Amino acid sequence: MNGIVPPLLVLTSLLPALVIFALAEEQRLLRTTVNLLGAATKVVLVVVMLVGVANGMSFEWRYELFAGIDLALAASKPALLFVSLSAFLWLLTTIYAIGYLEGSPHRSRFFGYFSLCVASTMGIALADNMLTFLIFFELLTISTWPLIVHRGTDEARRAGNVYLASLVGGGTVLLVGIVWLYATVGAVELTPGGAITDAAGNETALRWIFWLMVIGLGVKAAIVPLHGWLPRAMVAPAPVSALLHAVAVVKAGAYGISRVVLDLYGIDLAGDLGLLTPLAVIASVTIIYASLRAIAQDELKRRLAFSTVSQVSYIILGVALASSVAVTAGLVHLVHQGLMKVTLFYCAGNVAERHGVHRISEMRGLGHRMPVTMMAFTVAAIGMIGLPPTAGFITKWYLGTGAVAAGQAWVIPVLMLSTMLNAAYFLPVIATIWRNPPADVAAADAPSRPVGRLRAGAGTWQPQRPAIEEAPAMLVVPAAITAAASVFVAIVAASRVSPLTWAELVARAAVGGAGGAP
Amino acid sequence: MSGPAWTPWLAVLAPLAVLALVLVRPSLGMLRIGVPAAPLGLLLVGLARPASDTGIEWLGLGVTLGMDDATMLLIAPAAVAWIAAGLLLRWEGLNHPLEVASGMMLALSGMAWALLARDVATFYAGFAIMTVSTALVVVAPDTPAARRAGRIYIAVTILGEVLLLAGLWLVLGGIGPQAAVADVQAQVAGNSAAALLIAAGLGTKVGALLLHVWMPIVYAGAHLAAAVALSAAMINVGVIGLVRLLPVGVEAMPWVGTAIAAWGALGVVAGVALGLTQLAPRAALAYSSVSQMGLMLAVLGVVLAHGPLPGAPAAGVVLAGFAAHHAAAKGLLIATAGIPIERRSRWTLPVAIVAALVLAGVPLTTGAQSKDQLAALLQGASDLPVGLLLGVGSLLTSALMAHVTWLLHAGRRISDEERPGEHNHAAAWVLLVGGMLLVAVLLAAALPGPGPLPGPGKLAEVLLPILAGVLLGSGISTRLQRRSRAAVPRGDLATYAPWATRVARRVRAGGMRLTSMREVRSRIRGAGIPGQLARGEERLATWSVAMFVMLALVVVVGGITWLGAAP
Repeated sequence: MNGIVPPLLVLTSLLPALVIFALAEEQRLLRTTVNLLGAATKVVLVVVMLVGVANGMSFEWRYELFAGIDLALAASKPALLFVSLSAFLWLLTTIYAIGYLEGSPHRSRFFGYFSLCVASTMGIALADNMLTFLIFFELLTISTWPLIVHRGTDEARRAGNVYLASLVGGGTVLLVGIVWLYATVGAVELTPGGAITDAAGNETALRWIFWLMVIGLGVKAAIVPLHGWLPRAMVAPAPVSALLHAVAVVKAGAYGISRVVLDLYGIDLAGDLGLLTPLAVIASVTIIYASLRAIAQDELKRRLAFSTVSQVSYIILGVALASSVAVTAGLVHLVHQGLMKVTLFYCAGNVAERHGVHRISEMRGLGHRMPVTMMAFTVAAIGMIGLPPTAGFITKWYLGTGAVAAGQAWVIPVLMLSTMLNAAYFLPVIATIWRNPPADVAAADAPSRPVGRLRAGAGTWQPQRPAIEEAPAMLVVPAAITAAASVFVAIVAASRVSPLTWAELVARAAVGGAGGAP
Repeated sequence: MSGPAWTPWLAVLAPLAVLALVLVRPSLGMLRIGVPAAPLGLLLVGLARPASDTGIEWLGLGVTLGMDDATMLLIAPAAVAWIAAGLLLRWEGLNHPLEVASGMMLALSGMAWALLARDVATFYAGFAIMTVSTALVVVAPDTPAARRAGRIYIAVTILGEVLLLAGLWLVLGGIGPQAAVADVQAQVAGNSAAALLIAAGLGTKVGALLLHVWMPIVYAGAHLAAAVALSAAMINVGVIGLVRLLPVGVEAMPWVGTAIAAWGALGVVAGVALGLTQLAPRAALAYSSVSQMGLMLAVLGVVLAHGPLPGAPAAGVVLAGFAAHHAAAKGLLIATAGIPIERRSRWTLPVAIVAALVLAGVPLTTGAQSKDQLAALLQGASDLPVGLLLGVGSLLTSALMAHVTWLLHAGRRISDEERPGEHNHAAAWVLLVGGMLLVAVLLAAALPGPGPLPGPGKLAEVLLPILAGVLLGSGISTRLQRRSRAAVPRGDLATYAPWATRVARRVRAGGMRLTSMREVRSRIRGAGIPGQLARGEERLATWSVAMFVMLALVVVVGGITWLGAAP
């Protein structure tokens, strides 16, 4: 009975995709209903699984593809971390997308692929062996491409080309790795602590296979120098960026690397083979390099894209450091980065949609005109820097502590530099948006007085501000919710229901006390 | 007296409640009453002195709040300073009133979290929230000067936060991310790098030399309320962090202690020297803080180098007592410097002179009392000629105080910008005088008193350096005041900040030109290193190169691991 829940989770977006493809462009109400029904059902199912797994139930579904290899979906603990994030954010992103694409062409196509994309993400998250993982991994690549080229402009097509080139290539490399692994040790299952039991004698092959897999997955995770497709893909509409950066694509890559390290090889074997320190170095290089590139961008979405490249590598860094605290940090950042980055992309979309502003240098004073959007943006950006009381702070606190616990104190300067670079590319944006609007904008609304000054007219409050020109509610509310969530998960970090506690459970099971701090 | 254990929650949540009210229903009345009333919770905790800790396991990373002997000396005076700061704001005239109110309330709450925290994560979170949100108040005037002050403030703040965080990471690696503050000292004792990082991180808050550059710029350039809250309250979070996290008087860290002591001693001298060049009283007072906190660091360093001091009062309490005394007198002087000359009463200047004398360490005052305690610590912990050193210290402080007094007397608010939006000077000022008296009462209860008036010989020994300092300072002051500009620009080293900004701007400018695909192609030639980076990325993204890079990476990384692991 429980076994039916994991495939249902995939079907709750696969079926809507089928229905939506068949709908005519003008059947807006039906399309919206199907979309939201699927998204809401998915959230309910995820809650059911979370409660169930917390109480020791297991949710597993298998279908034998050919002798010895199943199509296997199971609600493992790390899977639930990713599934809950994706389900929650997909619901909000669907609402956002409905508002965002209001009146634009090809909505059935868009929402069809959109649902397909999330169906694949669910499959990736729940995959219980590498073959299942690969199938959904490739499906994700293919179903995202039409979304990236959705606008049909030359730039979008070029970005789409780059996207396909990189990701199909990555998928191929991953496939080679999986096949080789199966041929060598016969293990492709994902089990806590690692599935490879007879490593003796196969060390060399296992090392090569590990790097094939990491690089195949690393393309999606946008590890430097495989990240080129991500900043280009920002030509896609804002909901797609949210999907790419927070809900599905880069997350699938980082999640895949975590599963390979934790559940395929196992931390101990990966450590013994000497694979983890190079992985940590690659992640560190990515973190610093992408931050340096982010500073140089004036186009908001491009800056956010480089920020994603940098932040997603925190996940990989945490897992590669291999102490239980660091692995906790890496896994929880899967959720934390998602909440913060999705907020930033929603806000970037709102700014572009409402005011046609794409560049940071044009954002001056927007805080006073779009207070809710820009407040959400500010909260998320502060989280990206890692300042309390936000989700980013929790990640950083654990990551640094875990690095030292793992005896890898060289990571500390990397994290210090990264924090300062994050501050260097987010704080100026915050300062710009909360400054007074340029004179010509202010003049239209409050010709005689400085903006933001109060008058005490018979005890009433009359702030002299430019007229509020906020984006529509369907775009603002999701941003406000995710921003609030990114603070909420930090405020209740030590509670039983927080992502942190869940990540700690996963990390303890994976590390098994070896090299972990108390 | 010991009050109920829940009172700390009142202190940390009251400002957040006020903030929520202000943001939900902004009204002038709310700001006028709510902002000065928000620190009452903190005041209550300071006076009620809850005897036991209180905690919520699920909150944050597991929050525990409580008080110890050192915090007890700082909390109530800090609350008084915050009430005064709240009263100083005249909201009608303010640019960005909501931002100022948010910054104030977040900073107050952060300060309360940090002062009351019993666990490391809460201390750090409170410290960071406090320092970062103060930036909102600093930049609020939205003038070029305020924005410059804001940039320098935030740069130093982020640097401080990162250094402190790195120090804490090194410690927490051994004891886990949810450790209690009490467990930190033992870990730091074995980790010099952590001790230095923590000292430098908190050094940004107390204005340790080189990390002090923001202080004169902000004290003189921000709203008076922010200057008062920073100088009379928030600075002491740095002090409390230092005495709690470093094993001062608990374990010996010879070379780290000596380094901190030397750093502090340099600050004592440099602070006075730079302060004497200033013409804006608030900038001079900021440099005085650099000097006084240098003294605090010097003594802290000596004790840290020495180790436990049996029989002496706890070093942490003595240092906190000195900090409480310094902050109370400094806050009053800063507030006095902010009162326009035409609004002074006949009491203003005489009382300010008393505060200056208190800072100089005149007998029978908290200055003398806390300096005697510092001397006792130094004597117990070192073979230094303590009498001579403190004499020199007294001379220097007195000289700077004399200069400040002359500046206040002259009433020339040279290069202190005129700021509307300051208000209720009288009420705030009276409160700050009360704060000084409160500190005297608290110190009398916690530490051995200043004692009776010393005999003539001893009295001369104390008064002579002060007198000499006053004469020296007055001499310098009269000469200096003929000048139209300060001899050293306010913020000294920060003058070089534009150089750093230019470098940063070049990096950015190089990259900014390369923002869209078309532009990348058209401008790719001759764009320097950023151009080459972008060109490199452009190539990376072509079909053939992408696949080549992928496979090459497999070969290279795989090869390295293979070779590295080969026997």
